[in-house]
Amino acid sequence: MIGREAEEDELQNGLTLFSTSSDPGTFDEASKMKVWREAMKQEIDSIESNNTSELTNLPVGYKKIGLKWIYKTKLNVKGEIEKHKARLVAKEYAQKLGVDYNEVFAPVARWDTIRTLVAVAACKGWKVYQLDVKSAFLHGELIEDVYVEQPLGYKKEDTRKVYKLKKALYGLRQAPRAWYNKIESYFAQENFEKCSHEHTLFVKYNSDGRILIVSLYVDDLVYTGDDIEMFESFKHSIQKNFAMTDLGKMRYFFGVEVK
Amino acid sequence: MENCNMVCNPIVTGSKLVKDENAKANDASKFKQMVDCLMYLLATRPDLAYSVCLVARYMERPTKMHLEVIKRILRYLKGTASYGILYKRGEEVKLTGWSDSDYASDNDDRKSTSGYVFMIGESAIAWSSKKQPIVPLSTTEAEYVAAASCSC
Repeated sequence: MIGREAEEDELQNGLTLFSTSSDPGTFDEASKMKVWREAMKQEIDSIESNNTSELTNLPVGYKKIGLKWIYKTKLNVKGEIEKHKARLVAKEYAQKLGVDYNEVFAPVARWDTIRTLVAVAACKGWKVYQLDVKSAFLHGELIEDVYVEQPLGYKKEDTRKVYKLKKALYGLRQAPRAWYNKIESYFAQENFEKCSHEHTLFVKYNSDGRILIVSLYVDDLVYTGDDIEMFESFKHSIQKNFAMTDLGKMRYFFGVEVK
Repeated sequence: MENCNMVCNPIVTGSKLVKDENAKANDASKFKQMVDCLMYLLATRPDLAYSVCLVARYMERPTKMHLEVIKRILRYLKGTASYGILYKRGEEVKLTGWSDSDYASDNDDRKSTSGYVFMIGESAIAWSSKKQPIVPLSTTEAEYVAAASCSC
């Protein structure tokens, strides 16, 4: 057993040394390596902890949607390996309009908005912070009935059974929209005001007239304002609702450096 | 391109591009990839808006003439790679907008280009350079179209 592990490690080192894209393309390749097995375990755990799906029989007249594993090695700014990521995605091309999905549109912040936010914050001398939602799309709640096959490597005993999704998976046509609806309802519940011209900009005033501005870029939140207490309470309340990574002060946003 | 000489502007002033059916076509996919990469820079570089949007119009059948313009942009970038936008602290939040157009700059279809930039204080926040969808009959009309597209 020890011998096998060592061989795997050697294999990995060899790959990372000699190849720029050593990511495995198929489940069979990935399941041979320990890092990828762990990455897949992590993804399955996060899907299960999210209460995403339940095992049922496929009802007559429904089609199941295939799943696929995607593997990606994430590099940090220095080009070193930061982590191995495995993502379970649905094959959206099997979905039919009106059957498995209806509306798919979801708004994204424009660059103009983000620059304006930074410019205003700079003029006022405010600080700009950034938060990132982990596995954002898994939070989106599905309105439609979607059935998917059991994921490779994590099949339960009865292989004829399928999963009925309650929440979205990456790859589903409606996943971005489901996620936007979810986070929008959170902002509404927290008494944020939505900008009527830019649906990803949310503003909140407190009783002293202090302000908090939040801009949403899919799963990245950029926020600024003039009150530290509001920052903290916002961070607390959103972390209660979604698993977040606190990126602190805005440094690096979509390849654009902020100093 | 790594050892190229730097230039001080992204495009030669007054240079005109046309669709050249007779010239030999370049590799369109490579050209498109380059334009795509340059487009991404527009997130922080208003100075490139005009030149990048100009070459992007010829992605269908790029020729030597178009490739030369891209190369000049790359040479310009070499000298200005560190450029960015500075948002200064403690300035007045005052919004100013500018718009302009050039009349019939496209020799193929006689359409004009409109451009605008918005600033807060001294720093730009929003900008665009875009070929107008209609053929204007006068410079005034071209300016009017630009002003309209800038305000909505």
